[in-house]
Amino acid sequence: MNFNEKLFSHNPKAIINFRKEAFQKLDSLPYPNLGKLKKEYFDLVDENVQPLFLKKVYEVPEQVKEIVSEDENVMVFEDGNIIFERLDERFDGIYINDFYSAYDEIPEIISSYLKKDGEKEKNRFQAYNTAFQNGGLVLRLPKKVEIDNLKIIYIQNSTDIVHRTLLILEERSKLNLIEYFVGSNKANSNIVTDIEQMPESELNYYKIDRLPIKSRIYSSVRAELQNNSVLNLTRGVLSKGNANIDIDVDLLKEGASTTINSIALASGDEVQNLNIVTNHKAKNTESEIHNQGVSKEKAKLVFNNTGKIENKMSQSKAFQSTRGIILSKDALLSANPFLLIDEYDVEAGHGASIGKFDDESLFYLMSRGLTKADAEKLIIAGFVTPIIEGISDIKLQSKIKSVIDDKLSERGGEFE
Amino acid sequence: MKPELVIENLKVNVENKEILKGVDLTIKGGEVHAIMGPNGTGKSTLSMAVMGHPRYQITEGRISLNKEDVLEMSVDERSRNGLFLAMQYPQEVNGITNADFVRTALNKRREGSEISFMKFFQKFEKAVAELKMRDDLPHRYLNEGFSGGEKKRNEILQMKVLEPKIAILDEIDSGLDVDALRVVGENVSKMVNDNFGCLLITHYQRLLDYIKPDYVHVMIDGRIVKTGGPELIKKIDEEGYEWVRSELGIEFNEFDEKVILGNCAIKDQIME
Repeated sequence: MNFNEKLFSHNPKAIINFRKEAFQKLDSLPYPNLGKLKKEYFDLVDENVQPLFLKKVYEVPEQVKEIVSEDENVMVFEDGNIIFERLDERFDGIYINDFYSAYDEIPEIISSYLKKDGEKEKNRFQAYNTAFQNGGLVLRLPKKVEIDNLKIIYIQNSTDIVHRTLLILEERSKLNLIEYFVGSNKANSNIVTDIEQMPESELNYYKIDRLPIKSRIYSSVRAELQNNSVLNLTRGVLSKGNANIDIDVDLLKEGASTTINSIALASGDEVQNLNIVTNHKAKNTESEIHNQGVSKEKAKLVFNNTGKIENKMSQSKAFQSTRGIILSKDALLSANPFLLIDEYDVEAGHGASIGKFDDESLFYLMSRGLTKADAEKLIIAGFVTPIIEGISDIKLQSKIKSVIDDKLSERGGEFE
Repeated sequence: MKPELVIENLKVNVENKEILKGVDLTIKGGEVHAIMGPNGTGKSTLSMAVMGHPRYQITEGRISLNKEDVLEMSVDERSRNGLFLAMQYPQEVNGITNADFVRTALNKRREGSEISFMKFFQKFEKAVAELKMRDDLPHRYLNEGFSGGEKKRNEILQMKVLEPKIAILDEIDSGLDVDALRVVGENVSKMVNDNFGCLLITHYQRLLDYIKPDYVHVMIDGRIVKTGGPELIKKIDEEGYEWVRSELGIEFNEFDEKVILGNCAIKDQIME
């Protein structure tokens, strides 16, 4: 792997230096927690990172029209560029722009972010993101501002996407954010999202990807939560390629809390690895992790959950659950829950139920006239529906339902 | 033609143990049959075997519905051909609403002439009202978080909408309080006509106050040992099953008389 400085000659010198630094240490950094999965599943294939410069368009791009409503706030990225935006007047006082513009426009914020960034790189994919970033977004919500709808869509067309998002929620601000990531051909995608939540802020964040077959995906969410701030993250992994999903939430100050829901569907020979970590670094902090997974054919799907409560962080709560359905004998689905607790006065627990179809449920549905195939489909749909119905966006709900339906009917040959 | 379910010399094993040892029973449209008997004598096994639960292995005998071989049919085919089993322990299925489920099931048996959304909802909501169930029932997930009584009424609700030809109601009375029992009993009674017959499986006579059976069968140790009219109910109510031993000379020991005295019903919510 080479670092071609010329690719990024349009960048300010300081940014190029951060890139170089990250590139130099890349090989010395570990992979994310892969457990028993081979690293080759997640290594980049035929890398092709380019900075592209695309013009803005004045209509919602055809590719994503079906998931955009007339009356919502929306921003569309294509190959790293903001190509469309429609934001209402409430955004007047909000900073939202691409990463390099932000470096010019709010330099003090971005430089201090970049300086801290080097320390946050826990694995080589995160360092890769810093080195090769070809698109990015900075969104800063001022104090007390509430935005109830914002949809950001990323489209991959002609280059690998290496994207960085920085979300800053100032005190008592609130944001409902939906991110949807689609691609038109196989590529390597690397998306790192940093979230900084100030006291009493609330972020409801739905992050869904639907990339094509043979894609390689690295996606990381790193969040830092101050006093009484709340992060509700729903992560839908609906891509057809191999995905490594990292979610790290640091509960830094008292009263911070997070709920993380994930849905992952793995089929064919896909490999999906989710590492979800909550760090309780203050008293009276709460975390909940709920995973739902379906694994079929020869797919491998792994959930690694870690809840870490440090010493003296009393009155904290950490809960985890994983529910999974395995649809064929060659499919793998595993849940590895870890609770690392160094304090007595806490509540914590984990549970997992993974198996093939429940025979009694199948019999019950079939006894009302549903065929076995219909009954199975209904059970799986039912399994993920409660989470999808948590998304207030009807268009996206039905899109996700049809994606799941597609994904489940791709191939036959189920459990016998 | 009236529907007709014929069970002949049915022998059933569960986990290699013979539970049914030769059962003969014919149920026709317009008829109400009741099977009574102590716990563990094979009443529920009969219902599961007729519906085709894979755990119940048929070793001998025949079952036919309108002369068609039921044992050749898969579970869903049995249902689409007109059999219905109201289960003793209905499953909870998360994420599927009651209405979506019943509509899917109904359309499955009407392929080519699917019911319109509006018509279905009218039919479904009428049944909800007649069973005095909660208004939000259509949108709740299938049996999830339902009380025992609600689950039982939901079985009857499905039966009303799906309109089977022959139904087996397996201990539909357990978990129902007196008011709910009356509601269920009246609803089932109203369904009985030449095109619908049913078999009630029950421990005690309470349900039979509301649904009058034409035939009462006593099942002991995997066999129907006596068949009679409603007068048998009174006899069982007063004397339990001890008389079977002396009168019919049948030895059995697999029952615990206490179960017929118990009433574990919980006060259930009836929507007026």
